[in-house]
Amino acid sequence: MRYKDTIDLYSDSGDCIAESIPLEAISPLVNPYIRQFLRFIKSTAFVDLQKIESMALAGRAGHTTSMRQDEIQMPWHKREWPILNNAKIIAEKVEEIIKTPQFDGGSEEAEVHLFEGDHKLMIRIPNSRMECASGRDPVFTLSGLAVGQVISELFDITPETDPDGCAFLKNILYGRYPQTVTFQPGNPVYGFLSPPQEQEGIGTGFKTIMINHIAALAGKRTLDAVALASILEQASQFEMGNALGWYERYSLLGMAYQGFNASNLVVDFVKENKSGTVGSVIRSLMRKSLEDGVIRPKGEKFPDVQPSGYKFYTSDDIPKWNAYSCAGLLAACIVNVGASRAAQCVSAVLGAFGDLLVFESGGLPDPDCGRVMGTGLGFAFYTHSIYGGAGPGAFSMDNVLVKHTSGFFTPCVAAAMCLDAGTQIFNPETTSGGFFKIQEEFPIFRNPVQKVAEAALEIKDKLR
Amino acid sequence: MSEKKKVEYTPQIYPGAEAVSERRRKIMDPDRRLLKLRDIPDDDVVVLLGHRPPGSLYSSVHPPLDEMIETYDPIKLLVEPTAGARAGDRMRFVQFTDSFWRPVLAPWLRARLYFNRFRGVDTVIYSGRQILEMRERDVEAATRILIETELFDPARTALRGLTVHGHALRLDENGLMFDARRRYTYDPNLKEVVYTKDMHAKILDDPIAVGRPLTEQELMEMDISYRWDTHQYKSRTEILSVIARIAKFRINAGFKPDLMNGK
Amino acid sequence: MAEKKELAFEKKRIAKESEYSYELSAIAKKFLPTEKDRLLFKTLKKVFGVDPMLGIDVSMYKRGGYHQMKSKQEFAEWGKKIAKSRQIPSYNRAVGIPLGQRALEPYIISGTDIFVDYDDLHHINNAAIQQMLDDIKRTVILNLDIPHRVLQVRAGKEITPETVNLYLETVQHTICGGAVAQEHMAEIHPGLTADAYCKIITGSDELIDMLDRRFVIDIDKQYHPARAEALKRAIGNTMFMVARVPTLAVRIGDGGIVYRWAAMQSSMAFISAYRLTGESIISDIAYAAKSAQLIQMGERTWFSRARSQNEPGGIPFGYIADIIQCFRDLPPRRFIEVITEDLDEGRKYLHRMAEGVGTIANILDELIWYGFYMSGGLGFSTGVAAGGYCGEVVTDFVDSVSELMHKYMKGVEKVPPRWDTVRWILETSLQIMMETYEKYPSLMEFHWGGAHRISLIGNLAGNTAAMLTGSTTVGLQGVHYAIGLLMKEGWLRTGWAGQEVQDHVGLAYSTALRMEEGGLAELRGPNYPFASYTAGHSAGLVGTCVSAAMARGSSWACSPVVNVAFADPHLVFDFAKPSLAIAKAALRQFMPAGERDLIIPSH
Repeated sequence: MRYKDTIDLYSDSGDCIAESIPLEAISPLVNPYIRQFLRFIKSTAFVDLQKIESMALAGRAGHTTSMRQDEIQMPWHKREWPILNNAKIIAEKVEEIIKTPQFDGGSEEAEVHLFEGDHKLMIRIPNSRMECASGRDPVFTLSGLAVGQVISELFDITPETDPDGCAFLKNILYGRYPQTVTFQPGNPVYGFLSPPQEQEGIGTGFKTIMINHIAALAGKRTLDAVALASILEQASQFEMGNALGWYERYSLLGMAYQGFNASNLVVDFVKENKSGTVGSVIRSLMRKSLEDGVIRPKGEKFPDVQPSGYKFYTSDDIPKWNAYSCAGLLAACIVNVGASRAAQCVSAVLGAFGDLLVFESGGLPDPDCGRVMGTGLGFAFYTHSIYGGAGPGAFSMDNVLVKHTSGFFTPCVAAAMCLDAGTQIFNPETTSGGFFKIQEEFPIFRNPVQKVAEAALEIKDKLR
Repeated sequence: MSEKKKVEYTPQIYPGAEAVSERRRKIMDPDRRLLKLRDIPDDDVVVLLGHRPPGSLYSSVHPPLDEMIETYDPIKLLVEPTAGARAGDRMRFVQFTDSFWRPVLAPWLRARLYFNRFRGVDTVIYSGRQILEMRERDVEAATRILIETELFDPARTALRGLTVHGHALRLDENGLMFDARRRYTYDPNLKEVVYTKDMHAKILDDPIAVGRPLTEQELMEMDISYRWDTHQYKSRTEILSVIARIAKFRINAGFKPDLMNGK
Repeated sequence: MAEKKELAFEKKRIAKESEYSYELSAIAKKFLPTEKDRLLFKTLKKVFGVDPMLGIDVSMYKRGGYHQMKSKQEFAEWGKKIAKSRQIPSYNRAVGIPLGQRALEPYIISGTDIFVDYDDLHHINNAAIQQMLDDIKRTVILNLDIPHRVLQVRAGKEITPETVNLYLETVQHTICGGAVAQEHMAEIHPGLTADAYCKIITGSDELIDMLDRRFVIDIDKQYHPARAEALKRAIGNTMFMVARVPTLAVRIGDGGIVYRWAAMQSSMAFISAYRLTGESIISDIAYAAKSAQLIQMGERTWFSRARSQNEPGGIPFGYIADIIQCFRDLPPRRFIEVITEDLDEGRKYLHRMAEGVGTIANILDELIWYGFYMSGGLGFSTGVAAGGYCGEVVTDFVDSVSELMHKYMKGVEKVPPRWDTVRWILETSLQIMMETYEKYPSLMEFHWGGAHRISLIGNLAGNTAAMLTGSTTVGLQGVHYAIGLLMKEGWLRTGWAGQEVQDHVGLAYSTALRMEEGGLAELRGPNYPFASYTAGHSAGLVGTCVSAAMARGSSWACSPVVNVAFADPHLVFDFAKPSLAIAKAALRQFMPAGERDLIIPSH
């Protein structure tokens, strides 16, 4: 093990779940729950059977609009394929196609489930298929094409019987791809993450999910959404190399204190400032950091104390100070958005918290050394002007507006979307209805901090 | 966990030993009272904001919080919602433009003020305007503070919705800040600035007086910016030391976090 | 509540600070008459017609509205004409606010006596700005050595001065749309593509002697001898060919057609000149032309703001610095030597830098990339760009900065690229410029947006760090510090709401070793993710490359061959005197290329 740090993890009610966990036990590289979660996210496909049936009935495919989706109208291509009535057969046959053989005569199952009243398929792509892929592409390719083959066989769609039907089926499943680079908005074949060809930037795959989806997957429970967002963000930081070497401890501490409420820091800050302001959270942060020895006054004489009495503070552990300040940042977002119960208020905090903190602390670095503040100012502008667009939750975590930090930004936005009481048009209920249902069906998304802690306890004595 | 000694922390807020810094600190410090300079009736505030007729009910964007059934979340129960959030008010705004000329408030100080004195704040900081969005009744309460106290100079601070051009322009012959939509004028009889239009430039039935312009002397004392002829920025060694330190930390710790340990 | 601390100087009864302030104010006013000698004073007086230090505009609201500007009067007339002819309203002054209640002042192009209307500087109204963009977009540089090698090795052809000159003559025909080896091809009217041609860039005098001089960019003639020597040495014995595809072609297509057009047509010229057939070596030649050493001005941008090659978003700042030709006739001396020896000579360097950066960098990135490609519509960034090259503002600021350096850098041989070392010059420069705004209400009115002021003085102050150290990284840090921290604490007012994004993020990013962070300024550009949506830094980012080159005494900033490619007198836009070109266009005296008069009815 590289680091001596240990952390105590707390639930969002302020109860201690686990004490003295080695910091590395929560690393995405080793924590069994996080690894399982990431695998689940990466290798799970969804196919919306109801949407396929309704698109076929309407003669519509290949749209590029997000709402209405009806600019392409070719009623002469209408098809009546009773897909929903055959959902169970489709599920069985897809499983047959996607499963892979194994040497001992068994096979690796594809884990195909029907949910949402048999309207949707969830397909876990087998590990062997994912392993012989260079990325997450099989989630999109295998799922849709397997369903396509099954539909074709079930309803006798062949070049002999229905050539246009063959072509139309392809467009229903994938839009105009490859004429377009992307699939159609609301594509019936999708995953948690965006299709790889849309990814901008190396190593950012785990961030290609809309913030609203995370709020939905957390059932809008604030610190659960923060934890899920942190896991995905930090996984991406690891993949990008932003958590490598010099930065590893910096990332892990940030994930622990901001993402997982280590030492109950976030909840304590919120509690202390439940009727307070962003400014009062800053003061709590300073006090607590001094108490815990994370920062100290630099000296007693000039220039460490300036003529006005203003003190320069310093930290002998900048990564830890960063973790504390990121926890403070999250608490400030919660206090401000919790007061207004309006998610739009989060961007202003992200843009101004750093500014208040640098002057309170005599120049110590603000969260993520200014990266959060800069990103926050841009985010505030673009969520309030004609140049950008949409509310804070409608952005994916890899959107150019939010991606310039070391992963400490979007968990705050996820928290805000949970706290919103209904002021947003583009809220999780509108954009991510299906993900609420996924959250209900699959326990992997519930109580993530608890699960991280339990998994960490499992391995804590085995880490070397 | 071992018992830690509780530390008393005295906020320092902002560096600088001279009057402007002191003024900035005063404005940012929620424990210090702002001087009230004028009285604007509640209804007039509502009319100036122009979001609803005075006396009318607030529009809601969702049911009152107490009537909503939300899935269990301890954090939602922890933070005290504002009055407007509790009632389900829509989010509305007040927007100010601060003249460049001896401003009693300027955009970044507004943000720092808002985050220290108000709750449930959404603000975006421009040069020519600053918007403050809150739940409707909360923004009305905030507006009262922002226009009745020393934070407002009727001549050079303006309530301005659209078309904000003017913060950087020369003043008009009455010493008022330019407004392309002519929302206010100087009434030589009353010797006060009078709004004839609301924030959105809709003509008012009855003009609203918002007080006399502050004198040049008063503005020199209340100016929160550093100026060549009063408090020269180049002499602000303390502030310059602090921001140089901020920059150094960001550069070096941004490169390698542990590089600045103990510095 | 915070306790009031007893300060050392409060122990004795001395004057209160406010007393000093008023005293200072009274004293300070005594120095104002010296301002009258300043270039800025004189220029602004000309522009506004009153004492530029007056804080009151007695004519406000009484100026006659939009009639103050000829351009707007013309627009109003045309709006009526169009509405009548097409029966759908067009431009209509009755809609929206009445413009012109403030002064709609004329803009004087710095370095000239030419007054223009502000609207004349919008990119859609200014043919020179359009041509500047077109000339950059339509340029691509191929290397002929590689196809020559293919010809020698695979086709057994001899490469001689005669064959090369024949090739060069042939490619002038093909590049503008003439057929060579194929019968019954649809050709292009040469009158529509008169601006298309190819020229050679080489560092070898021997090669130059063998070639037809018409087809060579004469480095010796275009540059100061010392620069020419350095460039030729860097370029070496290779033969580059800079191809200029027709302006009309990039206007119909986009930057992505340029390398394809150039590759196709240069390959056809090879076929004709060397009598080749449609054999497999053609594919090698085409690859050699299209890819092997192909230098494009811009690369493709990220998907979410996808553009093809050779569009502004993909052009690195170092290339833009090299495209600027404003000081190629000046000796490539280390700037610190020049400025300490001779103030006027040093000023010349700075003025040229300011002109180039203020026009080309500002216009290409602020006006065209952010204001047009990323946004569109009316020119919100016209003023931001124009701040850099109008009103003699930058000229005046550069004069102050140069005096500062001349006075305080005497005896200094070298300035280490350390943050602590350069802070003082940056702070002093910026404070002088900030104070100028405070003294000149008309200047504040002229640069009416925070975006203008930040773009101008934040970037210029930041560039002083690069000017002294030769380090673009320290220059970047300077820009970010100047804007995000220094200007901000002075006035508590910066620019448009997202302008500081780059500055707060940028300090941490300046030296970071992470995938989406770090990198030299020369090799960043508007496609760098956090820069791609945050306008207002182009003068600083390109300026840092130019300043650092000046500091080192380098003859180029990033690419010697790109630099030479724009030292070409046949280009339609004059990259050495950009202000004059833009001014001429505002006066309707600039003739761009790519006009379609030959194929449309006369009008």
